[in-house]
Amino acid sequence: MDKTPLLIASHVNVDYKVRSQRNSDGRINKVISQIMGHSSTIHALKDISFNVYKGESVGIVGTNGSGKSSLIRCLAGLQRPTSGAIWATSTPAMLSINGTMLMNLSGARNIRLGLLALGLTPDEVAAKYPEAVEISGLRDHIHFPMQSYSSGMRARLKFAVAISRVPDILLIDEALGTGDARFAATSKQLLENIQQSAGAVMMVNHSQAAISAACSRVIWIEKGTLKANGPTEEVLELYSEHLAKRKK
Amino acid sequence: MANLEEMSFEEAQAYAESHGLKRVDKIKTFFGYVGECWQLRHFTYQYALSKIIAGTAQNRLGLFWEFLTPLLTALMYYLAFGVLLGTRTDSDNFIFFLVAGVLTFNLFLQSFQSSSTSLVTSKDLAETLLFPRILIPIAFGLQALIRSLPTLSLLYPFALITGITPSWAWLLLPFQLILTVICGLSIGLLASRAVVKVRDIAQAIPLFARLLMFTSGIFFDVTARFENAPDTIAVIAINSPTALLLDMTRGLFIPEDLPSSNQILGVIIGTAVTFTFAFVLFWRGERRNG
Repeated sequence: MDKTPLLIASHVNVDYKVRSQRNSDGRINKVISQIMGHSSTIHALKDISFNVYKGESVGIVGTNGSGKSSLIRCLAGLQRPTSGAIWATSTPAMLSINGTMLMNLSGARNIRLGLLALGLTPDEVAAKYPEAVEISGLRDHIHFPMQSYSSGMRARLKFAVAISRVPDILLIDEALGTGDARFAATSKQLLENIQQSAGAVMMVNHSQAAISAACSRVIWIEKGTLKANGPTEEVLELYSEHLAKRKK
Repeated sequence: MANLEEMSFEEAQAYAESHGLKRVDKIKTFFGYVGECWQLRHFTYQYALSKIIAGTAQNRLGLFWEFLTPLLTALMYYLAFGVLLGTRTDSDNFIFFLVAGVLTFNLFLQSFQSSSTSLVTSKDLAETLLFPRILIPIAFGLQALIRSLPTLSLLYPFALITGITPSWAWLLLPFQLILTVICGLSIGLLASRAVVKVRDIAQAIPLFARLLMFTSGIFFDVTARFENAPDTIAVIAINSPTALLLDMTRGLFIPEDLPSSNQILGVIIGTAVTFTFAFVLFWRGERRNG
């Protein structure tokens, strides 16, 4: 059986150069290093390779600082790998709960702005806008500034924007699991729509329950390396064992 | 099923290409980049507008400050420089000279300063939505232009009150303002790239702004004041883009203030070259701006 890949990552490495104030030997060296700072390299991702097929939904797990966010940023084309590469049918659309939009503006304005940023023309925005409001479920709050929204409401708004232009691949960063039951149902429906329309979904989530509910496969990243890549249950079991060990 | 971990990079590449996949971090051609920016012009405009709405919503007097601040600045300069230091004699119509100078310089400075720090201040938005980064500083420049329009239209009544006869040249003011904004924006674009690379440069930007403020002849006539300075300094001061831009605004109303046509052409060409150069820099560094 030959499945069609939608996304391929091959030997992806990401290094960061950071300035640190490392302690040095000797008084003079200490002064110099305090003034100049030290440049050291952090390897955020080491030799990550995997692929994602049509209709799959893949979860990404890992403890804090494991390199999940760097991977997501690379997948979304927001960051270039230091070496290695990622190929996809089209640049995956990213839905991030951490990013903010314009907080002191109304939800309505943020939706319009988000839709324009996706490359829709003003006419298309006018046509898509009611649907986006409907998906966000924020009709009663749409004219209030985003500052007044709860984090769940903000996530729903961003989700509604991201979904307006049905992407081949949707990246979800910690987004689901927030929001009420009705929104959860809507978003689950939408995720299924994406998968059926020959797309794929990748999600990062701290909640293992959310991942096992939505994903057929899980990728586990630890300290920048790929620890496991396989069926959800197997990988989550390994991951849970690892978490339990760390606590001891 | 293909196992990517066992594939070499070259094999993976061939596999990806055989399925028609493209690199997600593929660098676009320069014209492709410009085209994408043009496609998102509605976004840029709405973003600039949104910034203005968000900014004025906080202040009780809102838009009123847009008028009040430059006029109070002009009054302050009038007292400090015009009266105390006696630069009043530099122009027959010193009040108009001063107001035109303050307003033009403000526009330039707004455009330059807000665009130069925009990539850092709008980091969040840039991380949430994927679009060409250059649109952020451009939106900030556009914002400066839109915000300045009501205030700069004050120049017309000011000219009338101070006894200047209307002429066709007055109609060129909008173009002069656009040129001023693009000039400030171009320098801001270069600075914003530099700030991302070396954060320390952000510290030098206010200093640079202050230097421009005191040397651009907002409250004195550059040509007259630098007459006795060493040649090189005089040439730089008289031909600095800000000094010329200020005199160009004044020149639309007071023909004697207008710089020579070569100088005007120099400003226009210099702005165009810098803007294009900045665009190329952004295009090349697109993935590193965030």
